[in-house]
Amino acid sequence: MLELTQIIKLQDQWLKSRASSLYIDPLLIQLKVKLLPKESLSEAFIKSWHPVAQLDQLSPRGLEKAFVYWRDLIPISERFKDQFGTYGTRPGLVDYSELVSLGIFTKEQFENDLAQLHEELLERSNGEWVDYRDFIGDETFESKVRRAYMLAFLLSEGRASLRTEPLTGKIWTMALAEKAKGVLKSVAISITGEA
Amino acid sequence: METESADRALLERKVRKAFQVLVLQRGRNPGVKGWEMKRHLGRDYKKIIEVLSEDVSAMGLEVFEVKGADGTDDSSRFLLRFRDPPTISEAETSGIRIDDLAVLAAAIAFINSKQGRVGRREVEQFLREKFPRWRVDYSLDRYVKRGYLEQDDRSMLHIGWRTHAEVDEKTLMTLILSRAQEAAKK
Repeated sequence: MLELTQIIKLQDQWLKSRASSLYIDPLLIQLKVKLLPKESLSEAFIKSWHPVAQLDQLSPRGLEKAFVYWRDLIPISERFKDQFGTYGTRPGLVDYSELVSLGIFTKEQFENDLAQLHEELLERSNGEWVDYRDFIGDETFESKVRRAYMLAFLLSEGRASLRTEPLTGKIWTMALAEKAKGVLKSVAISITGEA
Repeated sequence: METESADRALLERKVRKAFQVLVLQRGRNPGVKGWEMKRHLGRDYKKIIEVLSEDVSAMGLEVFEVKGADGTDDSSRFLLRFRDPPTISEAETSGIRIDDLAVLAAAIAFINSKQGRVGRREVEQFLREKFPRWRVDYSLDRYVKRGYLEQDDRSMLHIGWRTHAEVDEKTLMTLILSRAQEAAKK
């Protein structure tokens, strides 16, 4: 029944449109619009246009809404924290001494952890290249970042090496028994929360 | 005599009230619904609106009624609008881009020629023959947002309430047809 009334309604609209002078063959309109320069089209619009006259003003209700919005607005540093992490400070470099000063590492603890990681890489690579992401991967994102940070130390000290394959995006690493000599190269690697 | 002057004073008060109600923006869209006018002015609100429309004609304005979906007076929207269209230089100085208006004029003409509803993609294809893609997308979105066009959940475009309120569609269609003939002759 509902569908039937809808059909009748549409037929009614169609008849009204046909009967009104608004109905013009679509092909004719397409042709006419193509022929007309843009200036003439806009002129035709302006000559049939009666803009609405209206006063925009701030009402007490609008003022109250604005106040409530402003009062409840979270500071910008907190606003997008859920989606994008903190915006409180810009991305920057945290060096080893800063981590020590923050109490995240003590010097001894850091040296021990570094030696342990070197041992682990030596065992796992055993003279072969191992997948970098497999190696740094850990249970939590925090420990993954920590392992990547420490591996970067081993690499810059020449106690490990890194190889990248630009075509496949694969990154390989290998522990070195002796410190490598030569020119150091910087490689930027992004660490994500994904496994 | 006294009754007559009291009636006149009451009418004047109601006309003033009608003007204030119409000129102050309430919701997001301009204009006031019939039922709301009835609440402010009483049952005879249409007569008061007629008087107001006459009064504001000296200022180049008029009260215009846009019929609602069900065609009743209560669902109608009443607006204060320019009695005569602005001149081209007036329209240009108000910051409106000629290209944007041309897109709107072409879209309205095309939609009307298709019995008032047509798929957005079809409108886009039609407009892209004349205007750059970015302008078509940008202008259509803008005019949907401003109420000149309406887009339903099936991506069908209709003529919006604002076009019904502000544009004399018959004049627009006639002008497009006649100007195209002039352009073809040149």
